[in-house]
Amino acid sequence: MENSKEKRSLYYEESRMPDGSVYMNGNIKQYLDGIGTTLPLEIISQETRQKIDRIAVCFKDFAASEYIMETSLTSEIAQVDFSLRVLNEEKECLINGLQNSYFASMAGNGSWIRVADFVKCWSNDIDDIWLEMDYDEYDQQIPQPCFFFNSSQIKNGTVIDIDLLLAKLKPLLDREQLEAIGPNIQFVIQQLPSEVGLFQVGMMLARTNDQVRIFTAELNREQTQNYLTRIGWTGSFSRLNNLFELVDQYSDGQYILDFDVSNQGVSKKIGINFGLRKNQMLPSFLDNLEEHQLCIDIKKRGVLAWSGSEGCFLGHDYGFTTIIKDISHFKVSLLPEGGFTVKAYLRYSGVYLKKMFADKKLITTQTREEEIDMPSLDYWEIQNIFKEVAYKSMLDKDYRELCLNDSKAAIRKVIGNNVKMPYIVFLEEEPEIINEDRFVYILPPYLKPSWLTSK
Amino acid sequence: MINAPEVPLFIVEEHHEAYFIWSYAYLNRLINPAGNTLLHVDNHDDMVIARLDKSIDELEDDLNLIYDFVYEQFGIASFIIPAIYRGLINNYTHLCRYDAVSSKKTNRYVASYKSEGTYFSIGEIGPLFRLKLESTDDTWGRYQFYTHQEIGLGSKFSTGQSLILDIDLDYFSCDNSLSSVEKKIEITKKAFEDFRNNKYHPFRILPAAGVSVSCDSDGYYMHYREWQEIPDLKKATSELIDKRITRLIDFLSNNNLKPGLIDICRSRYSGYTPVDQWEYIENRLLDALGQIYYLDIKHISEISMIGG
Repeated sequence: MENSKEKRSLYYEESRMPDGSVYMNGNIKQYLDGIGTTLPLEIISQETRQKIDRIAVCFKDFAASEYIMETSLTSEIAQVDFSLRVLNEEKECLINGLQNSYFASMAGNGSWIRVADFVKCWSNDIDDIWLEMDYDEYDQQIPQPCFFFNSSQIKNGTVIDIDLLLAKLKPLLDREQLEAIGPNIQFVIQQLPSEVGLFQVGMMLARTNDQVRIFTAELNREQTQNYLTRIGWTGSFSRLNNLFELVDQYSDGQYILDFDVSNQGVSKKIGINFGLRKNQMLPSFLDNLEEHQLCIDIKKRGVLAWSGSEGCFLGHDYGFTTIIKDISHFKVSLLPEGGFTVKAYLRYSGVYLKKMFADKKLITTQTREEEIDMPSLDYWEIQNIFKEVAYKSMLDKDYRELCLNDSKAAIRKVIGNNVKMPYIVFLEEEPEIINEDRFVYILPPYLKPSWLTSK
Repeated sequence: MINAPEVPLFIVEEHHEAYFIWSYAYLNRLINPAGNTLLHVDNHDDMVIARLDKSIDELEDDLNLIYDFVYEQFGIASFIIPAIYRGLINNYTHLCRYDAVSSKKTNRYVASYKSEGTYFSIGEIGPLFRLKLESTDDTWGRYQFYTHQEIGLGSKFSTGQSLILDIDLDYFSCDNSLSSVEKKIEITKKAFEDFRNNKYHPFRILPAAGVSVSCDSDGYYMHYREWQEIPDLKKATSELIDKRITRLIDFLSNNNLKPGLIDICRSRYSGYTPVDQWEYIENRLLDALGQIYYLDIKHISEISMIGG
């Protein structure tokens, strides 16, 4: 008989709000409440926060564990776009969420229908999707999303699964659009170095519905320049060089390139996404941007104040959660006219203590199933063996060494023959690093012989 | 979707039943058969040494026999020493304090008289302990070894061994006077008069004057009152109980403890947990533990049918 508890999905757990409505545990509102008091006002003003809170109500039935606030470093206004990442294992929750009363009221809205259609046929070869809400959409009667899906499975070496890509784009684009853009997309993917795949593909549905945004996997500086040449990018390579000069000394040297593909070809505007080589470089990186008028002081302070962690309770099934705030990445966009804009992608994500404990225990259980399989010994016999091992290890230094170096041999020496025993790790003292995969037994202390003893 | 494995949690009424749960647990591979760490969260250390009528060495892997043995041979504070002696536990950590003070971790032994498994001796392993082990005159045998430490809610604690989290509700609020449980038994008129008239009656000359007799129109009675604390000395308010539970959860979380087994002892029949508080404490504690572990909760009665 199936165990209903085992069948239960973490993401289906619901709670009731004071007004009686139901929401998903772990939704964006709960996350925002969890870190609300620590959000830098330089990044998110009270007004922005209120707008996000309002729009978050629409997403109360979604569960996600990773969110990004996107802020322009050259804008004095504390406005952010926000994105949420939905994992494949959370998709059923998303399907249900897209059928709630809020989305039902938007029946007929093209963008959300496209998203819902994608999600309905979301297969396991797509690990995750991102939904992004632009700030300008917060006040709209029907806020439109931008939508991206993980595309790491589409290109592997020189093999491109174009059918998979087209199948995933089909719900997002009209057939004519797909036919017009499809060959261009295939072309830009084919031009990637063999060892570089795709990171994401998506559509800025809130802005346009006839372009597909491509995010490559990581390229180095040289690969980026060569790749842009191969795909016929018409922007300024000298400005691109300026861009790299600006960031290369701080970045980890790995760049995710994004651009739009339409039936006209590749957009002139491109984005260079990267992380810093070391977190400690953040202040000097921001100082450098400021010197180049690409970051204003107030945003610098906000970004510097972002990172940290907060503990909060996300409902019974999620339990205690540590919400970690860090910087996902930066993006420098090279605009058609040659200018730069810089954005910081400020992330907050949850580490669920319960899940962490559960995952650990799963490993332990599996290991034990494999290892503690002793048909020839009863448990009370094992207890007696351990008693003997402990005793001998206190008095006999050589035997103790054997315990520490070869537990199986040490046990065999006590038993006198070969029996199937679990793999045991004998230790002198409690380990500094706990590894639950092991059957650890801490030996009692070794007793040194003295002149009082005969041995 | 996540099919999360659960931490088995067993509720027992009185603490000696924990020995049966631990046996059930290793026989069902929830914990290791030997070398487990016991985190004993309790107002009392439960390390009483009591002589057994039957040898614990004769207990094998028969849960029915273990079940009977527990109820016949153990008192509610004398079940841990036998568990250490059997090797089931070799790290005994007593979380008995509410501050951050920890005692020194000491190495100790338990041995049985003439290796018979009925009467035990415990002690600290000192510099000359090797002599004792090597002595041919030693009347104690079948030594087992363990570490002993007392800690508090603010202490650091970790273990690489399989962990048993053993919680007595009386840790959160305790009534050592046992005033909520009346211990009386009806006796004959002769027994009543024997006791009243004999100032050296065997039940009068116990270490503490805990036995008395009474009579009323219904009959004659003997009363037993253990020499304990005055009532309500350690009884906690609901607010304090909540605070202690929250701090225990913080302790478990901060120390990243992942028990293979949890048992919770109500101690309501013995009276160590105030009778008007045990249910409140249990509900709060289960809720709180449920915030950090996926729990599979069972009462001992759900598995004890195998014991008949």
